[in-house]
Amino acid sequence: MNTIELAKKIRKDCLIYTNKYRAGHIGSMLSVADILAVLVTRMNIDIGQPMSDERDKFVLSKGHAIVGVLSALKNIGAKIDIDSNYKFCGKVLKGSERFAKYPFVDFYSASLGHGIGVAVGLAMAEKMKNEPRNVFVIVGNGECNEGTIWESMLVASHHKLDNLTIIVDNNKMQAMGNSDDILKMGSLFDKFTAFGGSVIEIDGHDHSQIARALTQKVKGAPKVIIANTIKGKGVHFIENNAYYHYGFVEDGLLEDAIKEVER
Amino acid sequence: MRRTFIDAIISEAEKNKDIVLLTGDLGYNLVEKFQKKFPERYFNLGILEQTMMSVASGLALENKKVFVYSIGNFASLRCLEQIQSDICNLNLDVKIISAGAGLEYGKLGSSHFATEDIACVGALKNIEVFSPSNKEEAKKVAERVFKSVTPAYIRLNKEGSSLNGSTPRGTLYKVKSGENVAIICMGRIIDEVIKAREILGKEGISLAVYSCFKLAPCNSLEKILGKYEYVFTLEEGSPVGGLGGVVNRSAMKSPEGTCKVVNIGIEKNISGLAGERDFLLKTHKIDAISLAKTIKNMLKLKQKREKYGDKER
Ligand SMILES: Cc1ncc(C[n+]2csc(CCOP(=O)(O)OP(=O)(O)O)c2C)c(N)n1
Ligand SMILES: [Mg+2]
Repeated sequence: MNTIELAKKIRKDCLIYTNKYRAGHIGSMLSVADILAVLVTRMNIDIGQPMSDERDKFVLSKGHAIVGVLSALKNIGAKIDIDSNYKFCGKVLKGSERFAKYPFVDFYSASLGHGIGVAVGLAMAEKMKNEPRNVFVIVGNGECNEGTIWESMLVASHHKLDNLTIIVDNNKMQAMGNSDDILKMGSLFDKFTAFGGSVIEIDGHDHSQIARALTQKVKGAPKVIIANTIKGKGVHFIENNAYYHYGFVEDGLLEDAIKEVER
Repeated sequence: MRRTFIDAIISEAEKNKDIVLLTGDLGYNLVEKFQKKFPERYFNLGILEQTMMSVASGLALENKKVFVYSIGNFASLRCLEQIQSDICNLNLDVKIISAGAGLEYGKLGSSHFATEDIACVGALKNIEVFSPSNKEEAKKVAERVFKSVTPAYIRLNKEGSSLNGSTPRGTLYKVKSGENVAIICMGRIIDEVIKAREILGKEGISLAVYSCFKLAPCNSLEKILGKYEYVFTLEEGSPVGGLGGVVNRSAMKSPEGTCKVVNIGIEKNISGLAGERDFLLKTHKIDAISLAKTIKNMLKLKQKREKYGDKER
């Protein structure tokens, strides 16, 4: 399946599942769908070997978009039951088992600002191995308000973690509206550069730009991809609409929304 | 209930020009009314809870009356040291509003289980901790914190209790009468207690129900401890350092010292789970049916022990 088709499937799944369970964050999911479609196909993982440690690692720091990740992995063949994310009645996972909750998702958190720190730990551990794997982490632009993001960046660059790729889903919105109205961050490119990242800025909906950024080699510094995106991308009434941060698409509009993302 | 509280802040802010509202990028479809009325006194600072508490401290040092809005753990554990050092140690006029009490945001997983917030914040000095169960209690809390000039932590559910229709008299008061056995609870969880009381009533156990919305010992607590043989405590969170802890300490000091206290709450939340509050109440065994069972078994055990002594346990 090409990544364009995969992205359509991700968007459709997100629309359907958030509607089915009347759960929020559809805008945040649609915004990151293209990044996910390209990333899961480029990551060095064997989809039939979810328990293997010999694979790239993945962290979703903006954990409220987890359904997008589950859909992406499922559509490339991973055994994942997306309903289980909402049904919740499943067994309780303990210790290392919790990483097996969803295959290929090493960590995700619905509390913001934790993901880069955890990814730094994963990347440091990988560096201690003979064949260090890459670690990918996706963060939101609003999430970059958190000081922990910047502390983690300092550690990542001090330890020259060039096996770490941080992707910023820069949709210029956060929970309550436009980021520039809430807390101006200025140029994320300049900031991540100042904190020692090797930064690339791209259109986060252009699959060839995403692919190129992911394969580009960096040395001695963490790679940061500022992916400029549109929150709610693909459904005109969700795009840049703060309501859909916590919202989902109601029954009456669902069919049209699905048609729009499938076009 | 959340809205009731914010509305109260809005009318108070008309009179008190020093009131400032900070939010950590939360409160969609809730805080906008304040923002519209008092744009110069409203700040969505961004997603930076630690810094937000320090900023609140600075504003309060300049004699502002600061309300800070965020949810559960983000308004408490995430920034606990800032609350301690910058706010409580200086005894400043900062009121933290923490939405999504207990398991209310449980759909979002264990990061959103606010079950240790009261225990942690309650351990800090100078801070009053409130957890109202219904709109009436929320209004009382609002009146109190509008008057006070010291730190407060206010844990708010989205909706108030639907079964507790009584008007509060004091911060700990009787909601339902009973004999011999009483339960003191905090927050909206009182709905489960009132339902459990019905179940127990059918089995001949008459349970008195008390609602407590401030985490502190008081005269009424001493009276309750002197009056009943058994007192249960219940909270949607950890009893260690929570309501359970407060009642235990009073019971130890009580001159009669005969009352037996049993704490019920969430000793350890089950991470890895997520779901609607009702589902999570069941898995954590603090839904009405589980509560009735726990109370019944505990009473049976105690009676048995009294009859046969400890050996027959
Ligand atoms: C520590 C913390 N504070 C606040 C929240 C509430 N919250 C959930 S998503 C969100 C906005 C995130 O914005 P951004 O990182 O830009 O992600 P987007 O949804 O725009 O992709 C907020 C404030 C949270 N989950 N964690
Ligand atoms: Mg964003």
